[in-house]
Amino acid sequence: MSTHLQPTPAPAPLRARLRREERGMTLFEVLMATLILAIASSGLLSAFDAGRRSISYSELHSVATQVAERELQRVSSLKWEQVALNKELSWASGSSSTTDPTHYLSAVECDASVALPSHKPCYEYDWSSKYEPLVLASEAELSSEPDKATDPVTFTTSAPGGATRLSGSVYRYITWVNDEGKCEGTGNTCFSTSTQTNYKRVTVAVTMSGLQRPVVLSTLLINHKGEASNPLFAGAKCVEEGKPITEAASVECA
Amino acid sequence: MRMIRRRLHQEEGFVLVVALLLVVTILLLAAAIIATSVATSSHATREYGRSGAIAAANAGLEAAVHRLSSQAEESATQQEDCFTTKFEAKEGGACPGTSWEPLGNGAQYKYYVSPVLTANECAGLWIKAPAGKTLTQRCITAIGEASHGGGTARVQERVANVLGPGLFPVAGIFAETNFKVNNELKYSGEIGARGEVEFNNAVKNVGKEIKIKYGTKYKPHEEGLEHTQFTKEELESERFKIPTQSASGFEASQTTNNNANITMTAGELNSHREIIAVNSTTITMPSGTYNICYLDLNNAAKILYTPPVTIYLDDYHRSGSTCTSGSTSGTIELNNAVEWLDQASTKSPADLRIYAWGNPPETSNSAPRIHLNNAVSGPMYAMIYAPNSYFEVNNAFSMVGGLVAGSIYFNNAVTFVGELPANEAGTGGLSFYPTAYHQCSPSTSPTAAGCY
Repeated sequence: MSTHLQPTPAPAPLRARLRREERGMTLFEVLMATLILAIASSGLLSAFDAGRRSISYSELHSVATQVAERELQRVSSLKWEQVALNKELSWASGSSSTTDPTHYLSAVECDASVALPSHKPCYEYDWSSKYEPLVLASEAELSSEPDKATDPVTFTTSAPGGATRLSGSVYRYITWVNDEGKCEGTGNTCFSTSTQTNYKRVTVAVTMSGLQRPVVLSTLLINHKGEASNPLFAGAKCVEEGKPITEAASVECA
Repeated sequence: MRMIRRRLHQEEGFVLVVALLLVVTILLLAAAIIATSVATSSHATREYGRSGAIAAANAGLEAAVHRLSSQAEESATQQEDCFTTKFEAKEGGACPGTSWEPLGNGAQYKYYVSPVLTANECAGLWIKAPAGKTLTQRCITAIGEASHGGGTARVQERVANVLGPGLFPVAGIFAETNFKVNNELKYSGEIGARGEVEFNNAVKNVGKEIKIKYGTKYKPHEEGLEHTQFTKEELESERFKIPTQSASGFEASQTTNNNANITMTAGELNSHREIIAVNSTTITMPSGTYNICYLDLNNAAKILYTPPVTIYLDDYHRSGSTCTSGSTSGTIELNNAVEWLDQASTKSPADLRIYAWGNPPETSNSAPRIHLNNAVSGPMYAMIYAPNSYFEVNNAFSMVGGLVAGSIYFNNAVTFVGELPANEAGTGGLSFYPTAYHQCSPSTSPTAAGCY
């Protein structure tokens, strides 16, 4: 409290009246101030709590996005034959919840109009109405462990002390895409019927406890024809650096 | 004491002011907290949108490369054209784009493909063609848009197409020197040879038209065997220039292969990568890549392969191959009822690829031999590329696929269906490969600067 305020002394009768009037006001003031502070503090606490929840949710969202992105990149870097799901696993619908990625699996004929290599099991890749058959391969054909593991694969993030901080599940669905009607031109070698496949769709869904809806990322992958026999490997070079293009990295004249 | 009392009296009424100041401070703190949490939340949403948009834009690149590479040719006129789902001229000086295509997770993509580049106006460095080849480069710009938070991403990729043949210039049989047939060939597809094609006795086409390479010295035994010839223009095209065998696949598979996954009921793959003189064995080859120097099977042996299987038939003539030198190196000997059994439910020639090194540049019948004798069948679904080997068949062989060999001799009861998977040459076609990739500044305009 300030001790430097030196108000001009009021005339004696006025000073007496003020003293008299201010007695009791102090108590009222304190009560009012306490009330105001209490209301403001509760608002602050609510704001703190809402902020904390919002930031926690954002953290979940960020972590889920990063995990999905990482998984998509991992699958995209696999060899064409290895971009597939383990056919030894069960791919039946596992949940009635529409926010559960397994809800969109179907072990029965998925769409009679899509006569791709296998009608079943299939996946409703748009979570709405469009189905595509899963790309399946035997365990021996799959190289990396996550691809052989049970679907979904779980993950955790660690706190600084090493304790588990967040955990979740990664669902990965790979389906055959038919490009019918999208590839034109005289004499082209596009597949011309709905019975053949053109490329693969990779859908990664990440769920975490507390996340209202899964984070879902999708992309397409094509078979870069004859990867090993890419004619660029037979002596093509990046002009400015004179660096030969090799099989080690197909995109390297950057 | 009076002094203290007076001072206290002077401060009466100040509590309210302090309380109000505190309230203001608290409200400011609350506002800061809310602002921070909103910013964090929108950052997370933006991050999700950005990831979804980039994945969608990458999908656009893939779709563009697939559709472009599926085209039959790239004529001079087409080289000046842009591409959407087919070659299209520029509109108002700019390339038309595709319409938005949904990706399934709410994201969507579109792309623009430039005419063949004449200036270095795309991601990455200009590409120099391999010696003796020419290539064309195009620039693909794809835009992805995510539904969550409306993130937009723009990516650019330079792709190059080497003009020239694939490994298989015809959808059938191609001999670097001569192709000779005796007795009962049932054949469909295309035939080409740099030397002579000689048909003796009972050669029939079994469905497809037989097409003989222009300029081939063709000696049909039977008049009236329906066939057409490739035109002179086709003959002179890059398509018929068989590329030199690349060592990279052999070198890579020599050290990194799936040989350990081969199982056999009799015999073994020895340390020299040889399977020698095994009778009545059943060999199982799971999907994978194998490198062997010699394969010798007899009497009702079976080879069960689960596609895709790639076999590099290595040879001591390749420097560093470590194959044992001798006449058996780089050869296959299959005698008496050996069966190739494709385990796929829907079979394709692409299920089994055999690359034989042979003895470059030898192409005559003195080159290392692939010899299939007496009832080797399955039928064998395969694509065999052996430009420096001699391919000899006797009695009752059946195959579906493509064959390139130095010289070829079929004797008695051969059934061959010439067939290649789409995009595996045969009909020529384009084959664009990415050489550089950049993420550009987000924009819905394909011509926005700053991407190269």
